[in-house]
Amino acid sequence: MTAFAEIARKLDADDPLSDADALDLASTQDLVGLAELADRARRRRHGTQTTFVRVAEVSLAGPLPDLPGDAGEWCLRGAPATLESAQARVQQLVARAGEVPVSAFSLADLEALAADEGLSLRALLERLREAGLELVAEAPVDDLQDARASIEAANMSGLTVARLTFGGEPRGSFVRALRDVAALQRQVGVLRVFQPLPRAVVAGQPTTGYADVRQVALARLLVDNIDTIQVDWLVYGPKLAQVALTAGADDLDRVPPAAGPVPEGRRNPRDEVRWNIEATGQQPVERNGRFDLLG
Amino acid sequence: MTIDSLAAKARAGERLSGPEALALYRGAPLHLLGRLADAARARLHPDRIVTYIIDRNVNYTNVCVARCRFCAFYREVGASDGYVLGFDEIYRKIDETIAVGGVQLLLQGGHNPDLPLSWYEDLFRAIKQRYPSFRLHALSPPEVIHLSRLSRLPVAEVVDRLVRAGLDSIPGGGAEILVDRVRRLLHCDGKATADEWIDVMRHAHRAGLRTTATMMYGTVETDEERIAHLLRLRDLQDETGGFTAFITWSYQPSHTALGGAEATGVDYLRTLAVARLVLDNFDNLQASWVTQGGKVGQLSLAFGANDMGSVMIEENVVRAAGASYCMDEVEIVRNIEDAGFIPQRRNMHYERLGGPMFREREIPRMHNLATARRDGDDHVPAELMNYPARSRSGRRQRERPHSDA
Repeated sequence: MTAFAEIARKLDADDPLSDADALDLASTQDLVGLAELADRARRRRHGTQTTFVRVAEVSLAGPLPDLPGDAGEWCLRGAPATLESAQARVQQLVARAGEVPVSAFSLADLEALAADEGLSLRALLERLREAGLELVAEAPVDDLQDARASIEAANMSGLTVARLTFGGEPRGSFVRALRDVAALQRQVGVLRVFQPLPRAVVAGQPTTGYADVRQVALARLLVDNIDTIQVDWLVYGPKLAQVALTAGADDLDRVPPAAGPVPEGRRNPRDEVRWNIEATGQQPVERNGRFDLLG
Repeated sequence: MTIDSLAAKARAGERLSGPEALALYRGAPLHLLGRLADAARARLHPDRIVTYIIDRNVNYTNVCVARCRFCAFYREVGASDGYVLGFDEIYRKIDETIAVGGVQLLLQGGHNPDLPLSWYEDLFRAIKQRYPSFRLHALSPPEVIHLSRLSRLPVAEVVDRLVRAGLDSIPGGGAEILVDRVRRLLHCDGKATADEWIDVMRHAHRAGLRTTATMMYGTVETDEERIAHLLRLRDLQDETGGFTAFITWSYQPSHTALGGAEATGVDYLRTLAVARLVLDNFDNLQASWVTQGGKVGQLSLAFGANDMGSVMIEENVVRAAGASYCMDEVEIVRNIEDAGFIPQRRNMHYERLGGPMFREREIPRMHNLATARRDGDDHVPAELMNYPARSRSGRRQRERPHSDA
């Protein structure tokens, strides 16, 4: 039996993959075979359903823009200078958002803010929760001072971490980084979404298509205790994001809400993302930031 | 005819019929198509070499009477931003191409009624005189037909004259979809019907020229018509063996009369994979990074492609329709090696020229593709005065004071 066939047998039987299996998967030149294994794992968990969320992004300063009513999440971007300003902005956004979930900030920035304010992270997060915040927008696991403690603090303060991410390309072995993510989830148990492709793109040296597909597939196979493997539609673009759906991803993040005229030669974002998902043979289902399915 | 039985047939390297190819195209899972196409590629290229060429795409004129509905590049006769490149401009572009290790010009342009056959002959002869070893991969079947009509000479004679003047090979542009129903809807049957395109290539191959073949999909064609296109190419290749490579790309809709939206990345990979399986007599399939971007362009190597196309240096046609990706040699090689393949430079005939040029000498990085001319440059080349214009605006242009760039 080939190594791939043995790994496929283990996956079908829900047997854990060994470190040797993980290294075999990471080093294979058979990208399509790897993608197929990941796709099978994804289908076992999610069938052919692919979710997507339209996110309206808001900056920390300035008057609130007219925000589209059809966004599934309103997200406050940026590192707040003070807790007071963060609370005020969250309150402003929540008051306008109505039923739309509001997410804000990077957990790494909130760690730093808590230290600046002389508060525990939990205390700071509770203040933000009191201001109406529901979701911490992202937890970049490679940038957190203490990932376990910080994620637990978010959970205990009543906030949900919307996405576990990699801020940049993982230092060292990607397999090791994924094993660490799986270990983190075993400790905290509250993560629902993992985004394995780096949020930040290095100008002039973007990640390659092979690397992206490999990382998504490995994430699906090695981080089998986080339900959703997500790809950022804005950063990675419709083509790569769509291919990632055939390699283990089941959710598309940061689809822009329809606002303003649609560029020539393009559909509106909702139709574009639905069309791309359907072209892979999967069923698109829109969701909001709370993972309520919107249809 | 189950997918499994068709896959077994493809794995065995047996020829697929049209209905069989269509069934695979529509029904085979993406991963299966990829594996089959990759296996077909590996049978032809077991050394894991992926080739690329350093050349430059030069569009000598954007004035065109064909008016294809999917084209955003053309300008009508008399348009203020219509241009014809001068010979000196083209020499400069060749110099720049040679400086970065380039070996040929891919020279194409609009069907300009004011450029007679003699202009092309003089240009080709002049280039060959100055740059004897530099290759001219020039024109396309529709351009040859245009020259045939303009000069009232048979296609075969036009090809012969161009070869004598220095033409080395013909790119496979203008094929779009080789089905006349589609060509009528795209308004490109006037520049060449499907049979006419095939006929020019037949003449070219019989004249000793090698050519490429292309397919632009994602406009109005059906799945059956995409397959029909591939079968026409396969049939001619059986007859002449003259095609060196096949390139497919998705229609780019911005700024075109046709409008619409672009086909998806997965559609591209499926189309490429099926092309590899159907075109069993084509050695080489090129990735289209210029329309798909670097990431999906690289992923093509897992779906049947064995070549990363050209560094290009300059590109105007697809850019006009909204695609503006750029990959220089460093980036192409990085992507080839990252995919586990070995990069090799080649010429148009797919003869290997060696390893990456930038590893032999210093080559400046290129982060944007060049354009035909700088914005605002509307000069009329001096030598145009020597060629009679057919259009009124062309004649008026020749009467104006002329200038050199």
